[in-house]
Amino acid sequence: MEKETEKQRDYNLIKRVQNGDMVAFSEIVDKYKNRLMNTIVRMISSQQEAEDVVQETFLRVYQHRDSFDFRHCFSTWLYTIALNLARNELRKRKRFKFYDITDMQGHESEISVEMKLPSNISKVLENAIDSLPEKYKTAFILRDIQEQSYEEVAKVMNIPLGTVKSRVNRARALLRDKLKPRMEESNALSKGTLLPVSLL
Amino acid sequence: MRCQKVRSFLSAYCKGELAEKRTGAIAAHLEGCIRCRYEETAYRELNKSVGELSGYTVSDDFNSLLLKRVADERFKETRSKAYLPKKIPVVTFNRLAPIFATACFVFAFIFSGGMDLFIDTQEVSTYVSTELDDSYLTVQPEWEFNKEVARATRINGLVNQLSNQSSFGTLASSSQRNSFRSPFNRQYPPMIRTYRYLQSNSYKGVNSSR
Repeated sequence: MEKETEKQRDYNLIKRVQNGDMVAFSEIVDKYKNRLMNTIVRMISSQQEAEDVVQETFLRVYQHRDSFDFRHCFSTWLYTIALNLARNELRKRKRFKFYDITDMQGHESEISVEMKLPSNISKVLENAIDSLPEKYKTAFILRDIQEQSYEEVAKVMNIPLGTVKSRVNRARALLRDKLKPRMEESNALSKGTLLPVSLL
Repeated sequence: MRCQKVRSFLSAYCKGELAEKRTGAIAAHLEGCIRCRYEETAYRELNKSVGELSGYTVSDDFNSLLLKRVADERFKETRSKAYLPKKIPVVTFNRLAPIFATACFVFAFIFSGGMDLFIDTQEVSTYVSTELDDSYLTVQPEWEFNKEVARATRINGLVNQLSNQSSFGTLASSSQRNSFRSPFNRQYPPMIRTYRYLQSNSYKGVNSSR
């Protein structure tokens, strides 16, 4: 029910944008900018580039506002544009390798230590998400971090519902495997507390 | 349920995404299986950590930068609307097909000789299909020859008179103009033109009228 009203509100906003209302466009930007940022940063692992992608997404929304199909959900359309732009960015990155100038100034050891021994579990999880294959990463981010429904994820990624479910399940299993040692370290999964003596 | 099957559903079980019947079956299994419970705890920890992930926010000048770009876009749109037609006409097959078909039909009609229906073919055939009569080149008695020379001289005078005028303005009456269908407009050499004129009914008509 709440989702329906949300959908209707989005439709009203995009209709107003189509009629040239810039206030409605600002409302859309304010509503979705951080959500998109959260998704895109985790996709391309660079805050500056993610911001550029989010900005480009909103610009595309404005340019193609008249071609929005009211049969579909606005957020699905928005996420589809954003993910396509993020994929383009990743593809570009594969073609041209960029090097940060700070890497050449002796900070390599500092960075690598941070990657190996992160201070808290969130950092480990961020790194683990970053290391997932792209198809699992996208499905996991949209489903578990953005908390979208499986159907919406399927529409955004343009894949069948069953495939989304299996990808999310696979991503969770991979993350669990990567986090297990860290969890055991932090005593969250102490074998002694869970398993009986006979099993140890 | 077996452990392997239970573990394949554990992540969805921890998120509460399974149907009631399957949830009950897994819960029953977990009560008696300590290893599966260990896996379940790992998933719950993962979910907890995901929930605690810090959110990213855009920079403070994000909105101003974006709105500046959008303003540029609006300016471009306004300019293009002012200087260009609203819609570029789209040439579709449906529009082109009848035009193309008509053009083909017209060309086919012209080249297959259909235009003969509109041209006075009888007149054309008089001048084109008849063989040249070269009897005047044969040796004839002198008096006949002189007569022919006089006739040709007269005709040549008439030819010169006609060729100096772009229209038949000097032929006063409309009946004369209609009856006088001159072959001089056609693409023949002057000699043949003269000969054909002598042969034609028009000449006779003019001659008889004089």
